[in-house]
Amino acid sequence: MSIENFYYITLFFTVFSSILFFGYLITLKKTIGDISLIIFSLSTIAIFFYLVLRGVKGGYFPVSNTHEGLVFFALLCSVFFLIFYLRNKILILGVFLSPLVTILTLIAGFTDKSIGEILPILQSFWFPIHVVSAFIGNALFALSFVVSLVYLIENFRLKKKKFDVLGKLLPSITMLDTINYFCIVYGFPFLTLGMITGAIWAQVAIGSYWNNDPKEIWSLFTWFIYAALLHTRLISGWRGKKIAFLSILAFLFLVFSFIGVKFLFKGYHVFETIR
Amino acid sequence: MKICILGLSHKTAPVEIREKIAFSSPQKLEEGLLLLKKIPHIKEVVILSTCNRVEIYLIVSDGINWKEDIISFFCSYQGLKRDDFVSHLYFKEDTDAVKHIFRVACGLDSMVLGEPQITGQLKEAYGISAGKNTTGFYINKLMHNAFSVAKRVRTETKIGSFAVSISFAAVELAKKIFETLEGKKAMLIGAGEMAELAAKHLITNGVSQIIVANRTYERACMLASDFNGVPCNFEEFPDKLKDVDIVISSTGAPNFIITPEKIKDAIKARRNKPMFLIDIAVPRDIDPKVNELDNCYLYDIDDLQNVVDENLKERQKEALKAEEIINSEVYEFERWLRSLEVKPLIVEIRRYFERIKEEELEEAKKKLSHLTEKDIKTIEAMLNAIVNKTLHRPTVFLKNLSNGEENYLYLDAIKEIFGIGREEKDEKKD
Repeated sequence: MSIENFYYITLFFTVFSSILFFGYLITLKKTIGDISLIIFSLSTIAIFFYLVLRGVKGGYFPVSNTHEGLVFFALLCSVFFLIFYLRNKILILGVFLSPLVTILTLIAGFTDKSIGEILPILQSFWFPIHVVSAFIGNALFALSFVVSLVYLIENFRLKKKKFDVLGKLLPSITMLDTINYFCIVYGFPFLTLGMITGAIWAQVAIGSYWNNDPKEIWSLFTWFIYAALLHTRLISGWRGKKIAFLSILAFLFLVFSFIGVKFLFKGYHVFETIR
Repeated sequence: MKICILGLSHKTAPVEIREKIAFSSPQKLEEGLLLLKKIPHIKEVVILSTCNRVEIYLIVSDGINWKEDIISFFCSYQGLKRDDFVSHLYFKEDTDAVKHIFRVACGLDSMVLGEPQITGQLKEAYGISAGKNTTGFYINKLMHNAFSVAKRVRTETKIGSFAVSISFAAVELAKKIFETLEGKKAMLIGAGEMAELAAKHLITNGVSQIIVANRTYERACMLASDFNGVPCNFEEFPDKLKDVDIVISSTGAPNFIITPEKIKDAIKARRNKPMFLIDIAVPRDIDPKVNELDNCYLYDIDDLQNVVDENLKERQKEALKAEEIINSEVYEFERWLRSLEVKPLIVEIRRYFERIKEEELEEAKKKLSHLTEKDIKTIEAMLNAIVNKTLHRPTVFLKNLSNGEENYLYLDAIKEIFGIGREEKDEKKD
C-alpha cells in the first residue's frame, strides 16, 4: 500500500470517532464517550504517523503543500483537545471538535495527495517555523471556536432554565470562558510569530516582506480581529457571550483566510510541490 | 431457617405511630436487641430505627409464629396497645425480605427517592447489632451484600447525581456557572428558612464569605454570626452587590428591590464576572428582566422547583435501573443460600457411594484371595472411576441448581432416592 493511501486509514478513524461522538451526544452514555475518546486518540496517532511517513518518503518537512497543511491542522486540533481533556476531562467538547477534525481531513482528501519534489522557495530555515507556529495558533483558535459554541449552548440553557442529563455533561460556563481565554491568549502570539517568520521567509525567498498576496491580506485581517478580541477581553473586560460570539466570528475569518482564499484567489500560498 | 422482616415506614404509618414505635435512644435499641435475641427460635436480629422507618430484620427457625412474638415484644417494650400499630405493620419473608432490605439500603424505599443517608443508617444499625452479638452468619452475609448492592447502585446508576431539594438545586446551578464555589462570595438579603438553608449549603460547598442584609440590623447581625458572615445595613446592600458572586433574596418587600439597573452597574463594576441571583421571595424581590443581562443568571422559586421536578424524573428513571441491579443481586443471594443446602447434600451422596465402594471392595478381596497388590489397585481405581463418573453429572446439576419452588422438590427427591437423612433410622430398624 502506498503512503498516499494511508490517508484513507486516517480518514476512516476520524469519521468513525465523529460518528461515535455523535452517538455519545444522543445516548449520553459514558461508555460510548470513552470508546469515542479511544478511537479519537487512535485517529490522532494515525494522522501523526501519516505525516511522519510522508516526511520520510519525501525527505522534506511534511507540511509543505495544501494536503499536508490541512492534515497537520487536524493533527494539532486533536492534540490540543487531548491535552485539554487530560486537564479538564470535558469529554463533550469532543462532540464538536471531532467533526472539525473530520472535515479538515476530508477537505484534505480533495487536494493533491501525491508526494513530489519540493519547491525551492519552501526549502528555507524559516519555512517550518512559519508553518508550525501559524498552525499552532490556528489550532488553538479552532479550540476556542469549539469552546465558544459549547459556551453559547450552555449559556442558552442556563438562561432558559433547561435541565436534563445533557446539562450534567456540559462544563460550567466559567470553565468554558477560561479555556477560551487560554486559547486566545496563547494562540495570538503563535499567530503573530507565524506572520513575522512568514514575512522574514518571504524576504529571504522572494525578496520582499509583503507581496499583497490575498492570503497575506486576509491573514492580517484575521490577526486584527484576534487582536481586537484580546483587547476587548483584557482592556474592556468583556467576558462570556460577547467574547464567545467574537471568537466564533474570528475563527470563521480564519477559516476563510486559510481555505476560502485558496480556492477563490490565486497566489503563491497555493503551494504546489510538484513541478 | 427463615429471613423475616417486620416493620413500618412512612409509606404505611403516620408520624404519630412511627414516633411511638421508634427506639428513642441507642441504649433503648441495644436493650431491645438483647430482649429480642432472648426469644427462643430467634437466631439473629438487627433493628433499624430512623425517623421514617422502624424495621426488624430477623433470622428465625422454620415453622415458628415469629410475628406474634415481635408484636408482643413491641407491646410490652414500648408500652403500646396491639391495635394501635398492628394495622400499619408489614411482614416479609425469604425472597421478599431480601429484596426489601436491598431496596431500603439503596434508598429506593425512602421518602426522597435514592437519598444516600439510609445506607449509612443501616450500616450504623448493623454495627450496633454486631456490637451486641445479635447478628450471625446469615445476617452478616445479608448486610454485607446489601451494602455492596447500595454501592453498585450508586456507581452504576446516576440516582444520586440529581439534586432533589431547592437548596441543593441552587448549589448545583451555582457550580454550573462558577465551576467551583471555593472562594466565592454570597449575599443573603432578608431571611427565611429556605434562604438560610441555601446559604448553609453554599458555605459547606466552599463559599468563603456571606454578607447578610436585613431590614432590621440586629437580625442581620444575628444571622451573620450564624454564618460567620458580615452584617450590612439594608440601605447599603446595592453598593455591595458588585462584590458578591451569588445573591439570595428572600425579603417580604411588596415590589422588586433589585432592578436591572442596579445589577447592570454591579456587573460593570465586576468587569463582567458572572453573577448568580436566587429569588426565593414571594412576591419576587428581583426584576425578572435581570435574567436578560449578559453574565447574569436569575432563578426564582418556581425555576428552582422545576429543576427539582426534572431531577426527580431523572431519579425515577435511574431507580428502574437500580431495581434491575437489585433483582439480579437478590437472585445471587438466593443462589448462595441454596448452595448452603446443596453442599452438605453433595458430600452426603458422595459418602454414600464411597461406603458402597469400600464394602464391595472388601467383599471382592475376601472372595478373590489370589489377587496381587497390583490387581487390587487396578480394581480400586476402576471403582473410583465409576463412582466419580456416576456422580459427576448429578454434582454439576446440584451446584447449578437455581432458586424456585420446583428446586426444593429436586433436593427432596434426591434426598429421598439416596435415603439421605434417613439412614440412621433405617440402621436402627435393621
